[in-house]
Amino acid sequence: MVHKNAERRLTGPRRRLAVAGGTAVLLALSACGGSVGGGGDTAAADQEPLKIGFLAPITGPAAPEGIAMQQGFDLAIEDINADGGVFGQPVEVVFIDDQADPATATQAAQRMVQQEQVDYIFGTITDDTTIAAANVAAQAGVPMSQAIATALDFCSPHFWPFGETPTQLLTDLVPQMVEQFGPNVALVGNDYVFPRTYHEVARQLVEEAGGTVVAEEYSPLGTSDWQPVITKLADSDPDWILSAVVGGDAVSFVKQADQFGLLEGRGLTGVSVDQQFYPALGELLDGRTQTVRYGDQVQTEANAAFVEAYQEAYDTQAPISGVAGNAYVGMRFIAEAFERAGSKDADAVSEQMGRLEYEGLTGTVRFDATDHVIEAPMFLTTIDGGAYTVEEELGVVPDEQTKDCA
Amino acid sequence: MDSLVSFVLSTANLFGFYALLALGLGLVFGQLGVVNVAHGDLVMVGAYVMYALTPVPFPLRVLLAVLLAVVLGLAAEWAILRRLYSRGMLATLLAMWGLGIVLRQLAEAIFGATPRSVEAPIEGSTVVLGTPFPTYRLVVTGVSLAVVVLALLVVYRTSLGLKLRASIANRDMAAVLGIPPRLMIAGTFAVGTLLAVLAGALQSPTLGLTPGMGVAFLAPAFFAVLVGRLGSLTGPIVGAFVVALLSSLLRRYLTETVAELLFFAALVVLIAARPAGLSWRLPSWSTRTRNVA
Amino acid sequence: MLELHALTGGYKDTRIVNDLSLRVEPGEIVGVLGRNGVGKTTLLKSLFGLCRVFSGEVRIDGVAVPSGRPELLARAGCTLMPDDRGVFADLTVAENLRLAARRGYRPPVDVRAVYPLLDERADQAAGTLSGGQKQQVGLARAVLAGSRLIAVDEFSQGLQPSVVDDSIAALRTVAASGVAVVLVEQGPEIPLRFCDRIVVMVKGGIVLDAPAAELRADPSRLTDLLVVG
Repeated sequence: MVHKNAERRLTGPRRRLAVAGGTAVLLALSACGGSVGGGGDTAAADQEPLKIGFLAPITGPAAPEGIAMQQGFDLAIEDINADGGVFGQPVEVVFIDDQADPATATQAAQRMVQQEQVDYIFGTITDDTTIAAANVAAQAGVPMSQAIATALDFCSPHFWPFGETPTQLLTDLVPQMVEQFGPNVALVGNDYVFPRTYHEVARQLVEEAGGTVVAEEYSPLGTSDWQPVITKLADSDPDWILSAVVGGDAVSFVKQADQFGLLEGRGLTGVSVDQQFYPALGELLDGRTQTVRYGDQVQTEANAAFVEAYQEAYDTQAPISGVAGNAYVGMRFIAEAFERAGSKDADAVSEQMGRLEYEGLTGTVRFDATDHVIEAPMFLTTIDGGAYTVEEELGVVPDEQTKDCA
Repeated sequence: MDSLVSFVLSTANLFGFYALLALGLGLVFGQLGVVNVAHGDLVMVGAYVMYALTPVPFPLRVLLAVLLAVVLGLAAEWAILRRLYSRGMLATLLAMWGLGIVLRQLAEAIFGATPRSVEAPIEGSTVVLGTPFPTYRLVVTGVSLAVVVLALLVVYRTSLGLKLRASIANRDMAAVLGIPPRLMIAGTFAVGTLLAVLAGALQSPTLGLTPGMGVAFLAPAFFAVLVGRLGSLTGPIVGAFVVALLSSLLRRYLTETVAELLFFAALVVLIAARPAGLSWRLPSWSTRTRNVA
Repeated sequence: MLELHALTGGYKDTRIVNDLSLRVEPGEIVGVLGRNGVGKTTLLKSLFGLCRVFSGEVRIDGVAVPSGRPELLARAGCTLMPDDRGVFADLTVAENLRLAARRGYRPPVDVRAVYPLLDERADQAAGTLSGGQKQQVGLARAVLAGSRLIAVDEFSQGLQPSVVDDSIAALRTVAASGVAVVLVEQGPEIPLRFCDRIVVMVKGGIVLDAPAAELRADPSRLTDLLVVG
């Protein structure tokens, strides 16, 4: 099983590189014809295939999430092309690994808009790389989306984030945890924008639910020894812990918290109990509660087909991570928006992005045309032997933001 | 009292881990003049061996990891480093950097990027002077420190250790006295690799395994080597103690981010304040690397 | 016993010793003389493969030793004290000696009797000794390790005259037991006094190879080659 997995991972990026190489040749040829435009030409849309720039940190500290996103994205492209592509032609992909590094992401995005002249940019995981790429995209007038839970404050007429907002993730989770475990909450996370914003929202919700934040600790990405943090958390004697520790750190933190007895009789939820950590943490997560937007246990026909295809393609039985589902739905949503716009023009596509109601894997997905906040149903789940079993359908969780991106 | 005991125990745990790393790094540095920037990735290799061989009993798995480390060390020295000594320190540093990338990519190709974990062979806590502490950590601390003591005994109390120290001090002269330089070089690199892999294998049950996990261990290990007197083999161990204590103290009283900032700042100041170690060592690298080819 | 055959050695691209051939017999004491920079040190380094050997062979009892493997020469009982003395600075005096001692070989002189300092400073780090003291440690090591050949670069540097005399006596005793001795010196006085044979180098080659007795009778042949200008 391991062997097959390896094969898949080796061929994935290589195949995409080959595609990228092919498009470079194609561009060079068409440049002679003089018809390469910024994508604003409707006539050109009929002739040239849709070209998506895909940025994912498949190496570096955010690689677990980056690869999960890539897997969902790949399946979306395969399915779109199997259904006849966009504008009757297969969608092309230019892939660059941003290594979770903002400087690399900036360069990659510049190459995508300048040399490759992509029509849309999809991706990155960490918010700082997303902002870096989004700035380049916005300046070039190329629309862009991301797919993972996000606390981005970035706003642009052409930026459409598919990631869950902290409010959407926490609104139902926090009162549920306070009720189940008690009012005293400890917040812990890696030290960057997302965990801090996530906890800011959490703090407000905890107070609204009549609880108290008894500790708040952050540790830099790449921390392997969590003992000092665990000691501080234990000293505050919380009823439950909300953890926005991510990547390999999440596993280190939860394992060490368990070894030091911090988890005895206490609740644990947050980003650290997400699906991608289940293979490593296993029974430490069983019985815990988590809100998700995408989960492989959500029973719809589309999801059943997706889960089957995913498990076959990547030879895995592990829980499918939310970002993989988000990336799949997001890319299909974008393809549909292009199809409806009938053009590669950024304004025309963005207009459709704000208007489209797309039937995704787990429910209807749409954007608020003003603040660009995604609206899609959320689910409260209980982790049970690797299955994130749906306990309650939460419906669309409103996240009223005051920004006007249009 | 309660927190003092747990402070001492966790500092000892960190010290054991860093001492293994720094000793290996310092040995390789002293003997080969190679800055092994792949040292952290060797920790990763140790942890993943423990994951990959999960059905095998834990102590046996550690032994297998150690054997693999020796093979890996000898192969890397033979295939990569041997041709590069004469090109100087930058060439070997870059080669080791490349080796680190290869190891990370290999781990990703085989195990994927999803974090993995290793079950601790001993569950539960032991009460030490009224403070419960994870039993496995106590055992690992003991084993790590025992290995360090054993390594020091070998280095300072056996004829093999004497030859090793002679070879580090002046490899040409050691060769003239019949100590085969190639064997010492390959052997030292194998031992350095072994110590890093062993550290990774022992610590694996407390860590989240990702292909990039090793990078985080490189900085403290380097600082430990730099803080101690370079070239002396007790230096890295003293350095590891300073680094572990400093890290524990700062993280105990300050927020994590401030602690990390001050930690590195303090180490830089410490090294700047006593640069003698560094400059004292430089000339002997240059002569040594020239003569090996 | 030892034979250098058409040896060419140097550093990087520079050839310093050129096509040099030399035979040394067991029990013979050979003094190598020459002005600064003629390649005396490089000759010894080439012999032990410690510098670049371009061509030529080193043979022991007629068998060629692969170049660049000083440890093989060491195993054959050949040893060198280099011009920087090669003392292991971090190691104690006793440890330095222990590394030189050979299983199954006891030199005919007791080095600890010749150099009392070896016992007095046994536990002191060799790097903290004075130059002359290091020279004694180096010579003692050479006597311990050289069961067949002892090569010494800059034999008398830093030594008091009385210690030079003691060292000469010791090397004579060792040579009398069949060990070949090759000494490199700056000045002719000491080699003339106690070597069996004198070799003079100019520009990386041997220009004079004569029994010491002959040269003692007619030192002008020697001084002409050694005096600058």
